Amino acid sequence: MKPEREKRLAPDNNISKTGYRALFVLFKLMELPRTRDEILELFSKDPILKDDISKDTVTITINTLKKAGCLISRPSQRTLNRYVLKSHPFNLQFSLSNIEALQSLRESIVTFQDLYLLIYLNNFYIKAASLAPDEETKNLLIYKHPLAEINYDILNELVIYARIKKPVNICYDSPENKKENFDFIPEYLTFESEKLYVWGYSKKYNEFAYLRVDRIKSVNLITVYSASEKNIEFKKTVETVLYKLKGYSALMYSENKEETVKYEDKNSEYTLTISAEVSNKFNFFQRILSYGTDCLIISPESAKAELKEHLKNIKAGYENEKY
Amino acid sequence: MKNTKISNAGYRVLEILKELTKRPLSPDEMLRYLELSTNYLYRKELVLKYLNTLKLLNIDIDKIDGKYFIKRSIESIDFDKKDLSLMLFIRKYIDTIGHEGFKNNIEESLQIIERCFPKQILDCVRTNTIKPYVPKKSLSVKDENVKKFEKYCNDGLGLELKYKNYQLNNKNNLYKIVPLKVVYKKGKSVLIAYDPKDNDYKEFVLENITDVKQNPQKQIKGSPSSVLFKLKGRLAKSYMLKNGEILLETGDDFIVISNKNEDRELLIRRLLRYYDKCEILYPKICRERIIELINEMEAMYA
Repeated sequence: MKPEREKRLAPDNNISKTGYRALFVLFKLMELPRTRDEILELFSKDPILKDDISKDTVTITINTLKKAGCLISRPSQRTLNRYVLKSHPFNLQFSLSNIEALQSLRESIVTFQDLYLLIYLNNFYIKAASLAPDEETKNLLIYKHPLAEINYDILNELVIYARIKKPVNICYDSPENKKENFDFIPEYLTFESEKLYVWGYSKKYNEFAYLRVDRIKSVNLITVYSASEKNIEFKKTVETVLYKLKGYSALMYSENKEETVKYEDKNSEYTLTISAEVSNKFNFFQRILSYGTDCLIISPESAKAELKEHLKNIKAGYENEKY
Repeated sequence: MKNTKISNAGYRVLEILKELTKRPLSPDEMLRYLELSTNYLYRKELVLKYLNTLKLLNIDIDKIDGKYFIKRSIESIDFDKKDLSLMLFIRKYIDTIGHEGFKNNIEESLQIIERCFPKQILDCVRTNTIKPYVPKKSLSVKDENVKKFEKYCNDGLGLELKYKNYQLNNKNNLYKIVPLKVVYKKGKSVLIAYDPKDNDYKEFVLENITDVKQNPQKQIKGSPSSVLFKLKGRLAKSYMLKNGEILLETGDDFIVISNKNEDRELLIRRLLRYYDKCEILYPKICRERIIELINEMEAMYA
């Protein structure tokens, strides 16, 4: 019995020799750039091509590959007289509707606000981007997501330091103060309104603050402390606010680090009652304002008063300004 | 003189391979493809000869239902076990989705990706050593009526919707809209539609649609008018444009943005979160609506 390879190479096996040669050269150039002589030598070692060798054969084969859509640079001094295969059209390819569906999938995943899942998905898409039919769709897969501006090394460090609650020195590109350095103890990360934030204690401002991760330019672990700094323990001020949600906001609500659903009653007008441990009022009222009339603060009275104050200020802006 | 000669048979083999990377083909389809692209007539045996050539070079070709297809890409991508675990998760997730078009498109994309995985990684599925990625919280999907609305979107006819409106004590609002697409937000299926009356896009959570009637006439989707808003202070410096937003003007301490794509009611609520650092400039109806919304919110605590 003939071995498989021998059987396949038997003369009665009907193949296109020139097609074989074109693919043979393509595969060899996919491995590495080669000179004409190197290709001829490879021909001489191949049982199918060995009897049909000439310099012209190489040129014709390269021309054939080029006509089929391969981008092969001409041998020159710069390429050390090698043919360099820059691209070829024989890889599998997504259709435009595949790209659109993959983007929709990512958009739907983003709404779940699961940071780690999104990071995994982005990495997966970066690799899959080589299957995109053109540069535009390739860039869509690589860059069109809310974490595009984030440096993953910095994000990694923040995740680690938040886990062990170690003080770090951060270089932050603030919209107001430009680049500034300050010490910060990261506690956790949140993903809100398609932006990633790190929450923690800022020694400089003596408050529990949140920073946009894409604006953090560097993170350095603080290893040397003064004696007084070593024992510093920051107690964040937390105010408990109880509020109810209905409608679209209730349907789309998801718990976060500071909030838990206390009651859920599908039969009442306000289906959710939420308890919030508010450590940053600005961020909390941002959320409350975006719920519009779907939200009703139950307690404390001070939170209601503060919301009313914000509403008054926003309205005043409309009364004073005319475009 | 420059040698520009090519090998025609070699070219045809390459063309067959190229076309097979795009779609499965029967020998007849390959023959037709070659005849159309070269203007010559060929015998069917020629195609089989070309397929033999591809197979001889270890190109993994298989045949299902009379059609040949490339089983594995000629070049693999450096996908690893994490990617495989994520791919298994995506498959599991889309399995829970009822939107056929979306589901099929994702499955088709995953099949293409799968054919580019290194073989040894893919073998982990067979040996059951890789499990699907498990997210922190399980992602549940609620989309009972999605197939019906997927069809409405494909039909392109107008719809009359009754939609539960929470602002009006759960009374139904009637909308005459052009359905465009169904998307998923936090696992809920949401219909994106064009409203010719208000000349804007609107979002309808499918589970809140209480009644729907399809009109027999084809509805033309218009181009919605923009909402212009101004952001001031530090927000102007740090604002990241959303999908479909255009930066119209940049001043010393402000920017003006045009937004066309968002549901206006949802946009107005989003803009409220920017406190007094944001002002809606145009159209007048949106300016009035944000003031009305503030009044309604104030009245809740009067």
